[in-house]
Amino acid sequence: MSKLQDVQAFIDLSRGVRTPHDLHCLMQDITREMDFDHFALVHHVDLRPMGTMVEHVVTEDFVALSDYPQAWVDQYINDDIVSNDPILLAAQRSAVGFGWDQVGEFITVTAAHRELTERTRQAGIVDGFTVPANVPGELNGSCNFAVGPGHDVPRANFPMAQLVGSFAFQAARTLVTAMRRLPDRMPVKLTQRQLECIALVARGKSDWEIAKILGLSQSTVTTYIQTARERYDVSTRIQVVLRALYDGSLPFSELF
Amino acid sequence: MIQHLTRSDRAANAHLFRTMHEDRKQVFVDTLNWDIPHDGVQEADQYDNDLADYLILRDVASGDHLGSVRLLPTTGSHMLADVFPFLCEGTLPRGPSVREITRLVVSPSVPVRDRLMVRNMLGRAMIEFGLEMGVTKYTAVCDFGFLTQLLSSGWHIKPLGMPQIVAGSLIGALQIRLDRHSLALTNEAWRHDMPVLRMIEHAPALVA
Repeated sequence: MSKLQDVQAFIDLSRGVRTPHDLHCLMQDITREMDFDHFALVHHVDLRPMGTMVEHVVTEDFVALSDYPQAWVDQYINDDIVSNDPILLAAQRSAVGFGWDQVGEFITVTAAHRELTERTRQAGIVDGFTVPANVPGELNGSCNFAVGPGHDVPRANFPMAQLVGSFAFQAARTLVTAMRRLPDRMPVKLTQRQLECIALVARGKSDWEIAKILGLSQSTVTTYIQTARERYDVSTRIQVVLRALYDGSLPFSELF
Repeated sequence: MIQHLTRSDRAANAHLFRTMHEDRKQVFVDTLNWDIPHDGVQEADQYDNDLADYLILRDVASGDHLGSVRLLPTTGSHMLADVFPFLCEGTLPRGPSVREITRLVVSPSVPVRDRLMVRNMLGRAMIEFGLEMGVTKYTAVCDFGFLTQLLSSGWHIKPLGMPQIVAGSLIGALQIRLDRHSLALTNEAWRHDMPVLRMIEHAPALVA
């Protein structure tokens, strides 16, 4: 298949995406196809309230999908790097995609930016290409493609990445809008124990850890979380956390 | 209201056409620096001919142009075929049911807060016009700085080739599929994303 056919196939598949997980998988495939190592499809928001599980977070307001190294994602979110990330700042000032070596054309690169760039490199995100996705009246966003150490950024594929990034962001926006459009559901009632388990899921604990913390058996914890998933009719643990946050069952304060 | 006009309507709408060509000069030549023909006041080219259809939003009070789009038949000479064939890989979609979108413009006189509304009205008018005229596909050369915004319309859009830098701008050829669902889908997307939809829904029906 030609590159254009690859892009068109990606677009067709992206239209059929129903879950953030599907889009995540699709992004990973096309990222490798374009000879990049990692992607991050994000609205530029402070993700600290969401914890650091941003493999595929889609809420009613924003999207954060990424397969960047987890250690880097942890640092990135905990330090709220998003507000001063030179790549994202440049993305807000550029209308079209740019290689990361062009960032200086869009912003004044400060010492803090250089230090951050160095930290990014050490975390295994060495170079890349960013497609800005700014829609009037909405949060700024971007689709970022990165390479790791010892891997040249595939410049010949920048035009392809530009197309993929733009259409990928639209697929992500559609997921966000779909979440917003969900009809009012019957309120989901969770038991105190289920909520305690979900609060710990939100803090990144495994079932085993939750069992130890709450003094329950691991299978009981698994059952509580499974039941909560069924009540919300969602397929992943993270979605349970998000639903519980949005319907108010789980206060945001439980995340800190 | 948005009107469908052709060159035969020029005499009866001289002021509207004049202000349209002036706005086009200001936007495409002065602001976007496109290298296209103009006389220093108005921008017009060889495609502003008897075959072009214009959808134009007119200021009811002043009669001035507020926004417009030019739709070209693709059976003969048009921009993707003549000027930008290299943007399209494979067969160029063309024929009686394919129109090319060109010179989509919102007048600089429209206040910032109303610009999206004008854009959206033009988008809706293009769908209404297309359905009325049996158009199944629109083609367009798009500045990619506008692509994210265009995709946010929710329309069924497909790239016809890889984007390329032409005269300093990243541009690419796109196809927009049109069918009887387009309007409903578009409206729904806008109702959620842009609070201007109410005004679009009250837009008068297209005068054909």
